[in-house]
Amino acid sequence: MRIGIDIGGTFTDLVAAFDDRIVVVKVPSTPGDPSEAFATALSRIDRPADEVLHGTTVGTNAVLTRTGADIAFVATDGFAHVLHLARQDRPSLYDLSAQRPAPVVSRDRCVGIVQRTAPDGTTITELDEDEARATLRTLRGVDGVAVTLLHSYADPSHERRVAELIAEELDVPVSLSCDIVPEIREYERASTTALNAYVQPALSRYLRKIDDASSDARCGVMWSGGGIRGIDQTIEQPVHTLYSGPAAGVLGAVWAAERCGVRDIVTLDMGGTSADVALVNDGVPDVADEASLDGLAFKTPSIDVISVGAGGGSIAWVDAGGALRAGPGSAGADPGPACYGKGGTEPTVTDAQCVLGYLGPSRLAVGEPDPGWGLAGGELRLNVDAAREAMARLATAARLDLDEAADGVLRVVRATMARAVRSVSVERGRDVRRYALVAFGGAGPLHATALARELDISTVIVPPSPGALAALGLLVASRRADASLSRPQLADRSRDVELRSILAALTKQVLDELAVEGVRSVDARTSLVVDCRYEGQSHELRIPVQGGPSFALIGEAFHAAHLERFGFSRPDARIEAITFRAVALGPARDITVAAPSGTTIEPFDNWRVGGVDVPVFARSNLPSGGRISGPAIVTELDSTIWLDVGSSAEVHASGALVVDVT
Amino acid sequence: MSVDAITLEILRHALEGVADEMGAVLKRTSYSPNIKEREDFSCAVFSPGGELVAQAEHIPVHLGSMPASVAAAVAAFPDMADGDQVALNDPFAGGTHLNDITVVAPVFMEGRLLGYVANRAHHTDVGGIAPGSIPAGATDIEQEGLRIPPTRLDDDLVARIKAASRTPGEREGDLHAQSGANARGAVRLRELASEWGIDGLLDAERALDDYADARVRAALSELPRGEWTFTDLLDDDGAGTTDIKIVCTLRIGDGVEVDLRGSDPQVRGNVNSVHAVALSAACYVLRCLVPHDIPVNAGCWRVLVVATQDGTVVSARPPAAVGAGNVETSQRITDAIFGAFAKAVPDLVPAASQGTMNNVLIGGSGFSYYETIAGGAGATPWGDGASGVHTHMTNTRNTPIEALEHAYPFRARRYELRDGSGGAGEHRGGDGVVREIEILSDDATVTLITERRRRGPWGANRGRDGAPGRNLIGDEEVAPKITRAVPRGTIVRIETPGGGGWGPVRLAHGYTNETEIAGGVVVKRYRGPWPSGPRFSAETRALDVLPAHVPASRWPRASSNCEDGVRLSP
Repeated sequence: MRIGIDIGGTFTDLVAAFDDRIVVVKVPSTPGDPSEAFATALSRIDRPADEVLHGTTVGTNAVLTRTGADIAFVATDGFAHVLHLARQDRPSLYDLSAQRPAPVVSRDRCVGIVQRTAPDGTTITELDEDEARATLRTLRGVDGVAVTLLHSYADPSHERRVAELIAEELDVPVSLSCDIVPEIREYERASTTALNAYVQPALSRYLRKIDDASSDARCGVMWSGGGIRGIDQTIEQPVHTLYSGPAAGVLGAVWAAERCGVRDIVTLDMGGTSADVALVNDGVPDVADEASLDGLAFKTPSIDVISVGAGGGSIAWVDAGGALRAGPGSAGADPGPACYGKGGTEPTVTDAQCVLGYLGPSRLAVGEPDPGWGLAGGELRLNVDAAREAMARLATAARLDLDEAADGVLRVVRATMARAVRSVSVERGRDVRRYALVAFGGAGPLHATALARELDISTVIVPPSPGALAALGLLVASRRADASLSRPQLADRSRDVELRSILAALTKQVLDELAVEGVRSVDARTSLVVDCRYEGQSHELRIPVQGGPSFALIGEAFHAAHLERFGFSRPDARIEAITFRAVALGPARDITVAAPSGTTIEPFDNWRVGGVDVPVFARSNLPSGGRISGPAIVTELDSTIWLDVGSSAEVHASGALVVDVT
Repeated sequence: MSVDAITLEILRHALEGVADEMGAVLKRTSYSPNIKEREDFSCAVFSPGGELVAQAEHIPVHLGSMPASVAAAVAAFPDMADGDQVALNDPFAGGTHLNDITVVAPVFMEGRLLGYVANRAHHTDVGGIAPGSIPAGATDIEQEGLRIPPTRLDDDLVARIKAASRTPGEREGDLHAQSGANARGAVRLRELASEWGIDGLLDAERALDDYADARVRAALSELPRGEWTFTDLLDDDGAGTTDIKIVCTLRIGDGVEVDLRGSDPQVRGNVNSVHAVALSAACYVLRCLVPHDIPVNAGCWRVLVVATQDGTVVSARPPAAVGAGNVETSQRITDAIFGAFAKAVPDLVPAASQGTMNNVLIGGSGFSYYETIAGGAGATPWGDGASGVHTHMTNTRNTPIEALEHAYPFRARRYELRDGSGGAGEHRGGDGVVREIEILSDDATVTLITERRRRGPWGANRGRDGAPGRNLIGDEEVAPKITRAVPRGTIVRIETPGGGGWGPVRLAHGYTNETEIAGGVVVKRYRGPWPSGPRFSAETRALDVLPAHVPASRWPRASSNCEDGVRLSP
């Protein structure tokens, strides 16, 4: 038996995969120490697990709240402020009060040491060890050190020697840029290395606790790129977990869609504060080589998840010009929407749904026990009066009646989401209309059919247990290892020997890493990529290595890719190969979900939604192959699905609801 | 048609979405790093009358000046048909400087004109006597590159641009992307018209103009009325003239008038700017002072009048060289306008930022390098200025040192913050940057086009000035604008200016009701509402918490008295 545990702002979700079924457990999160909720959820399963897999936001939160370790940063003399200079752009063009994102190291903890390496790896100035030791001694008291020396991807020996000096002088954990991300472009490399050192102490303490709580089970952690890695490897390179949470949800969505035979999807994970969107082509999520968190860049493979500032907790308001707006302010999880009855008074998106009747009948009294109604399986009671009160104030300001205002909030939030999804897909060269929308998270399935119409998408898929899909996604993820190395050179066939040796070394590195994870080389799938450009360009295209490592083949593939992307190629121009990459994936994992076992399609109630009586179905009662036509509501433990007028849902044998919205 | 609160917001997203998507296409398919990575471009949608409907925000120096390009294209080709695209870059006919090529396309549906889509992108080389097409010593626009009056964008034009440029491959790729971006915009605009009806869409566009106008006026209604004048200076023009005056007289009444007519006559060197650049600077300042979530459309600038005198450095006549007008003079015009606002409302206006883009061009056999270097941002009423950033009219990213050393025969020796260069004050100005490059090639030519070398960016509200920048070639401190051949081993050191400080140095938090600002003028301290309201505090500033509705009748359009040779806009 295997277990996946995902920790969100409000709930900690557990999915246990038995041989023939899955079990979902939801417990309230414990933001002070997330490992408490982890242990509580685990204690609800009475059998020992073989494997416990985890998606964590501990590192992410340490960065967002700037509560990571007190670290120092060591650079080449003359370049100590690379983290503060970043790429010299400002965050907001017109907001004069906007502050630049604060680096994770203060300026006085950034020091330079005398040494210099050339772009080709030769030494221009030897490392001055006495001077370096003296400089390091001024840093006594820090919790960790990040080291990024210029061109260390070409020759890491100075960085390695500095690590030894730090061990002797300071005896604290060290993150070296040549280990974390040996790639050209010093700001991104330095920032990744600094973030690694910054989150390392907190994450290692936390992961040790998780490991203990899981007793004998083997533990794994989701990395941002969508692969599982062991606890020890994660503690070495915790920067790889910064997008751990969203990655797991996307993998769950891919898995659920594939079981319905759909491989091109847009995922919509809508929770309390934001909606996360990702594009998946032919079953493979877009993975970016670079991402950023709160304005700080990091180069680790990360599933390309775009966050749109619209969630259930987004606050609606009327601005000075009389327009109805939703967000970016959010009531978050605490106090949350007014209808949560936890003291929130601002009208939110969830309150609009509550007022219109999407979340349950208005006759339901606060606190009245009635499992099956209210959010999250009755653990949260809805206070409809509070929602109406909040929404009434908005309606007055907007000069609309109550239902108009509530409906307006939903339409505005959809317009926001649709705009974001469209530009993201256009930016990546995709036509979103041919994708299916996979909606999950507590709030996703309520918005999905209407959003799909807005985007001209004809199919919506709601996976089983949409509120716990990230926990489920952990169980279907493979082990994965990534390696990269910048070695800028002309992509000339005379250099094929070097090409082969670089790629062979990277392949060995990723296979060795997977071997530590218990994956044999014969079971691993590897793929290779070379980032190329025409000489003189400053941006590269990723060229997959196919048909054996040869610069001639890579060159041909590059010309073709350039033609496709830019509309022309320059067959006579010289090509530069900049960065080399290898990925190894372990065997795919699967889980078995019991087929829908209901027998009849009978609504258990009618709710008044926006002035119309709408039948309400319990998802657990639906039979495989059953069909429901909108308008209708399907409820389950942790989510509510809205089928709008004109839509028609079929209960797929896999447990997903497949909705036709044409 | 009256447009309700919900439709207003939905169509705002829809129309801005059209501009966003054009930008996404341009960014994805463009070829040159300047467009692709630094996002030196803008995309916009226009009404059938050529008024701005929505603009994707990428770079401030394009704000407000694109309608002139559409007008110039329409004037030259009144019979533009479906599928036509018109390109231009002539600063004296709808453009700004030669690098910025604007492509305009009409959008038709059912035989009716729905409007126009247009985009403008900075092309790194359009010919002229020096790589990068901003030669330091230029005294005539013909030396700066290919001048394109409104011309149909076809193979002939692409061939001419390619022939003129030192980087023809990039030009072809970028023009292709610009045309594709317009095509995408046209498709999306037609989709919106089918969804909402042509008249429904056009009504909503007008309602959105009114909405933006109402919000701008709501914000401005709390400003004091009156007239304030601020004079700032350009160091020099690189061709013998120094201390060139930019004078802004600001009149706040029913509208806002930015009167630049007292500025110096146009000069021999290339710091002249055209009226469109002055207009962009004014639009930028206004945009900074009102809530930044107001949509950018024609309504946004309805309150604004920008007056310039033809033949001056802010509204040059042909054949003036204008290359640095867009990159340097635009910054000084911005400073002068902010300076005037600082007298009116000291609590809303930051000190001067570095006020230059520190253009560095180094060329030699087989290479041509162009980069702009960040500096200090002015301290604001809300906090310290940022260090090592691009400010005001530009926001391009740097070239990483490791990439620089791979691509050019250079060794970087230093790239760090310039400690202590920010002006002191209750809030400190941001620090500038030091960048030192050793040239490892024979026969290189160095061109520097920089500003704020003779005096530092001003402090505000009794804050101290930031440190002026310095340029050194070897041990010699050189002039702000210079072109010089240098031998192998030469070290070029650029120290960029620090931002001005804000507020008196010693009186933290306890200052008086009367206050004095740069220039020695004592003005009444602004006592407006201050950032408040729990949910707005992070997102918006003081101006956003003002009364919701201001009757439009209180705001008759500002009069625009035209004198000979004086251009008023819009």
